Formats: sequence, C-alpha cells, structure tokens
Amino acid sequence: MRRVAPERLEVYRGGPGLWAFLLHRITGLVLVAWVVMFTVEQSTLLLGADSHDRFRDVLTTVPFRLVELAVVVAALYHALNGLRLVAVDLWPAATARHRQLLQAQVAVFFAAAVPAAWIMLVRLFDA
Amino acid sequence: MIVDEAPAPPLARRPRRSRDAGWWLFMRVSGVLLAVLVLGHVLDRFLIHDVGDVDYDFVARRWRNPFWRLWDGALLGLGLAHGFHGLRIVVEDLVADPRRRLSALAAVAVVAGVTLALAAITVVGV
Repeated sequence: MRRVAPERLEVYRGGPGLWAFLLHRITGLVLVAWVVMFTVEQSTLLLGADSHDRFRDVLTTVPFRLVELAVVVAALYHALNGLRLVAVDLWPAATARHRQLLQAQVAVFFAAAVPAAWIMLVRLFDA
Repeated sequence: MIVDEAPAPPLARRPRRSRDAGWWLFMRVSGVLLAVLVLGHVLDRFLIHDVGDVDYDFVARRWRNPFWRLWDGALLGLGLAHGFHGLRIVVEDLVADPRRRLSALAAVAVVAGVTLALAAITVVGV
C-alpha cells in the first residue's frame, strides 16, 4: 500500500483549506492525547476517593488548567471544522461556497472561543 | 513525485476504499455525536460547575444516575474510537515504509485497546 500523503505539502498550493485541514489534524492529535490522559485520570476513581482526590489535587494546578483551556479551544476548532466537513459531505454543492463556509467557521470559532477562554481564565484565577 | 496532475482533495474528505467505507461513515456519525457530548461536558464542567469541584463524591453522585453514566461512557467510548481511528489515518498518511507502518499501526491498536478497556472498566465499575 503506497503512502497516501505527497512528499511536499506545496502540491496543495496552500490556501485556507490546507490550513483548515492541518489544524484539524493537529487539534485531533492533541485531543487524542488528552482523552487518553483523561481516561487514566478517571480510572483512578477505581482506587477510591482518597487516591483519586489526591491525584486530582496534583492535576488542578494552574499550568494544568491552562492546558485544559487549550484543549477546550482545540476541541472547539476540531468540532467546527468537522461539522463543516460533514456539511460539505452531505451537500457537495456547498463546495461552491467554500470560502464563505470557512469564514463563517472562523467567525463562530472566535465568537465561542473568546468568551469560553475568558470564563475559564476568570474561574481559574478566582480559585 | 508527479506534480502535473490536479492536487488531490483534502485527505480528510477523500473517499477511502470500500473496506473503509464503514469507518468513513463512523467518523462522521461519531463526530457529530461527539460534538454534542463534548459540548455538554464542557458546559457542565466549566460553566455550570467548576472543574475544581469535581472530586470523587461529585462523580459518584453523578454516576448514580444512569443517564450520566451513559453520557460519560459514550463520550469516552466514541471519543477514543474516533480519536484512535483518526490517529490511524494520520499514520497511514505519514509512514511510508510498510514494516514501520505495520509497527506503528500495531502500536496504535494496542494503546487504543488498553485505553478503551480502562475506560470501560471505569465507567462500569465505579
């Protein structure tokens, strides 16, 4: 089975669609790593309240909560881009509006990410 | 690398061979479901409650209600399946050497299996 990706990304001639795709992959990898970590953390529940809560005390420090914020933003991007992909899959004619879809996606992303980040940061520094 | 053909469509949208048709559909269906599951989870953890308050008691109380147990189970199960399959696609795209690819895919499968088992035990057993 030959390798699918071309040797050089320049083959795709750049453009916002390529960035959307790359970010989708990068956020996806971040999210997989996160979900694995989260599963391990949840599994400490099996060890009982003390062990779990001690584990969580280590993991609710500021640096870790900032990582959580980054993951939430990554999930937001990945979900929005994924929904755009599904929309184009269901209505292939939407490809004609590719640029507008991407613009709408970016707009929704910032409209959601900025308040979410704000709220999370406020909560974090209130604690 | 022959460059004088038209650039291929983004890999995320390129139709896979029919053996993978089920996976193609799964990624989209699970993706849409996960968008809802994750949104609810994030709103609950960061807006309705505070993530710092989520300790053992919080989870134990939550999981007495089967609805939340199902929600979190679906979140973890679908999330891990969706994510690890995405990882498999990335490996297939990036690893050219057939033997390295096989090892990489095997490693992904093992980590996926272990993590899924751990998640299942946790959601069912706590």
